[in-house]
Amino acid sequence: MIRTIIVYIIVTVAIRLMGKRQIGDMQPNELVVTLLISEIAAIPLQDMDQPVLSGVSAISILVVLEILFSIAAMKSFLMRKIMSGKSIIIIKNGTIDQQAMKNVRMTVLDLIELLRGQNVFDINDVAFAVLEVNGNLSVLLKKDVQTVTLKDMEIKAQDDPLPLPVISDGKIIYESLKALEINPNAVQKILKKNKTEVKKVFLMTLDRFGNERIVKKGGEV
Amino acid sequence: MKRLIPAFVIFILVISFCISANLCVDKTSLKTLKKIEYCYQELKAGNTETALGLSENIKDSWHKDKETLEIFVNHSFLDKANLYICQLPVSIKNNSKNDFLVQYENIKTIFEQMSKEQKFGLHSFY
Repeated sequence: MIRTIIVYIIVTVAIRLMGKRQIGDMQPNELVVTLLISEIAAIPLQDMDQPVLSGVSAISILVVLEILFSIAAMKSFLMRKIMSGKSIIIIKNGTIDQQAMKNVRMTVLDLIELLRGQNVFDINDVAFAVLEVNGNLSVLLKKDVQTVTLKDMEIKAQDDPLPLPVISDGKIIYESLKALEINPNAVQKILKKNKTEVKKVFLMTLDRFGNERIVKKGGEV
Repeated sequence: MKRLIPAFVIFILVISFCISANLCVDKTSLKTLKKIEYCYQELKAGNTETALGLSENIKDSWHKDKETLEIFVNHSFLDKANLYICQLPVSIKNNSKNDFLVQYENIKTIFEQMSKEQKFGLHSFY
């Protein structure tokens, strides 16, 4: 049991140090390290003869290597290319690059499936399709099938302000106040105006224009 | 760069762990083998009682050292070594120098394996 707790803490710390990413968004080297960590972490749990620290040191070395290589990849284009590969253009100016598809061992059916995943059901609508290093397909549609935007219609509109949660379950979230550049007194004033107090609020959101929304505990808005 | 500091700290900790494991294994095995060697000399000289006392002493100190070594070394090595060390007083009681020598050689081999596993060498590559 103690071993399990130790390994759980170590693996959690290791994954946190490596950064937040979902399996599908991982670069090839990150995926390899994650798989290796899960394998190594299981060894001291299954084999009681194996000291926990041997597993921990192996995981630590993998994390250190991953951090060093990710920093190197950030600094050097060549390193990034070696570690993660490069994006490949599959459809260029509406034409499928068959050689590129051969190089990445992708069939037409695979391409159509990936396009469907991007809500594109007609391959003729695609101007550019790029196979990213994490296996996702990025698609740029031809101009005539793109959705009309406000910019196309020359309509000027203001960006929506992002509402941030400033009180959650009766507790002030100071990170949100910092992001909104306001102090707790301003929140208290808003609460006073709404005849309530912090501990009675289930959720309060606020945007940079001062628009608030308060949900009191018990479902009262 | 924010992640470089924890990486550096982890790296230093791992290196310190490896060095201390190496030192601990070497020191303990050398100490135990020296004691067994001395014990064998006493047995060879016919001082069975002294040899028996020494072997019991070796057994006790090994049990203490084993607890520290368990942090670094695969426990199966330690269990094997423990088995042979515990047999040393029995061999002396039976006045069997040959058995004692076999056990001594076995312990020596296990310690060498333990030490080799901790060290960086050609075996690290295959």
